[in-house]
Amino acid sequence: MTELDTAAPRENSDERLLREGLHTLVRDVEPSPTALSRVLAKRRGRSGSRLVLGLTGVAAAATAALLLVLVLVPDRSPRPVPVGIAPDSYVVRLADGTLASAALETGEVLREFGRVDAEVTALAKGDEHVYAAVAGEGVLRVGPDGTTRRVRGVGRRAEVSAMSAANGRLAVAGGNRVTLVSGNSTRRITLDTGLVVRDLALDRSGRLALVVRDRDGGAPTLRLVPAGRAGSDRIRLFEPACAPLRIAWSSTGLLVLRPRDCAARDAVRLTTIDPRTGGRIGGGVGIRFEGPIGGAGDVRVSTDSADRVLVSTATGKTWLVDGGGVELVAEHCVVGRNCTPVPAAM
Amino acid sequence: MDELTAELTDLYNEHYSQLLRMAVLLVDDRSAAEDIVQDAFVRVFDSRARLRDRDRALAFLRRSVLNKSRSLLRRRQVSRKYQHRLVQREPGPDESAHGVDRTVLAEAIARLPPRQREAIVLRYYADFSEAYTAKIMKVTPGAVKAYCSRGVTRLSSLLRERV
Repeated sequence: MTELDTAAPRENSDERLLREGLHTLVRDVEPSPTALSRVLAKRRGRSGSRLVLGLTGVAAAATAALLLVLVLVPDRSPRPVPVGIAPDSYVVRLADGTLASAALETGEVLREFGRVDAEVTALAKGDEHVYAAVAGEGVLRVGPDGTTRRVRGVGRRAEVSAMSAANGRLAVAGGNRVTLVSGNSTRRITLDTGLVVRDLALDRSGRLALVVRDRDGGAPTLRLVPAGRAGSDRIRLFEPACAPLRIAWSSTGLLVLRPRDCAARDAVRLTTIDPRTGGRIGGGVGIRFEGPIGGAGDVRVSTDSADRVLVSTATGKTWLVDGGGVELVAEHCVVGRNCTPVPAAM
Repeated sequence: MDELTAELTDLYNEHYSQLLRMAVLLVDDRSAAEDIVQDAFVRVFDSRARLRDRDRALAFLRRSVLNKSRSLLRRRQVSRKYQHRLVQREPGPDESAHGVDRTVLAEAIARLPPRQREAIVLRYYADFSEAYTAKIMKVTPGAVKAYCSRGVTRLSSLLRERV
């Protein structure tokens, strides 16, 4: 790989102007006269503290290693092959039932994981696996190498309305119950029987946000379940707004997707709120659909670690929100293939 | 001067200015940019092997500047104190860069989505190849191409609005 662009220039006039403009913009920027001496001084300070930390670390590591050797029986099973879903991608279910990842920028299929023939009702993307809620099967965990395992703790007959995965954990919503699966442990959060969980978002710390609706009707509301707790607190919004459809966590707060006009569902707005206060952090962006969407399950919002947001619909339209910009990634879920009507997840 | 300090000084002499200018384009703030690049240079010492391999050290420095710029912009967004410092600067007597006003260009760049801005700076300021830009940004070369294409289109339309 060449570092510098040595290819023959094929730039248009806009690109040439931009290149010249960027160089001119910073031509006066020079390092401060003391920059090098400050770097070297900081480096000396860091080396000293690193030496002390290093020695402490070595002593601690030696003790820990000794304890491990004494306590643990050596595990001779083959080391697991590291697997991971490609970064900068989202997951979809293709029309033939194959679960696949697609490039975030181009919408092209990157990798096919494996085929699930039964009906899939929801998808979630973990760090290393794709999760698929399958009718009559519960939730399946599919690795990039195609290995499929049923997630323990979620019943085969469970009705799954939404899923969210983060940091090795999976949260599954069905009825008034949320099941949290982490490794071999399972925890259940049960809400009042009169409530239904429509969507949920799990963050890396284990904090959970819920979109909850009364079975008897009434507008959906937001709830927050702090990590490790069983009870939920209602998030009271500062400003009057339409009821939330879908949610996802970003590094700055809770992203809430809701209709722009409460009476119609042909356009949505994505805003960021502070889940502790209910105050609005970011004004967000708007997206207009071709026609009104059906229920909340027909649209999905998901995020990645770079705070990019994927908004996907059951019709396959997929948008990427990066900062204030909104780009249509794919008209029909991915480029050149058809998908089943399960919104894609990032 | 020990070997590693000499190595660091060489790196400084050859690349500090370009990294600083890159950081200024990414975060719009001269003093914050200087802090970001200083921190990257100090951290490159965390691994001696890295410092002895010039390519690794350079890649680390560039990625570090990019990551810290991202963090800074995110913090600014959170605290809602985002201000386009380059834009606020008083125009100097020679603000014309081949027909594009510097202030207008700075404002347009600051309005780009973060990834497009990064790709534009790495490709058109630092002159990195698509593949190398992708490596630094940890995305695919196709993504870099798309970011640049959208970024240039967007900048052109923003500049046409203003000029």
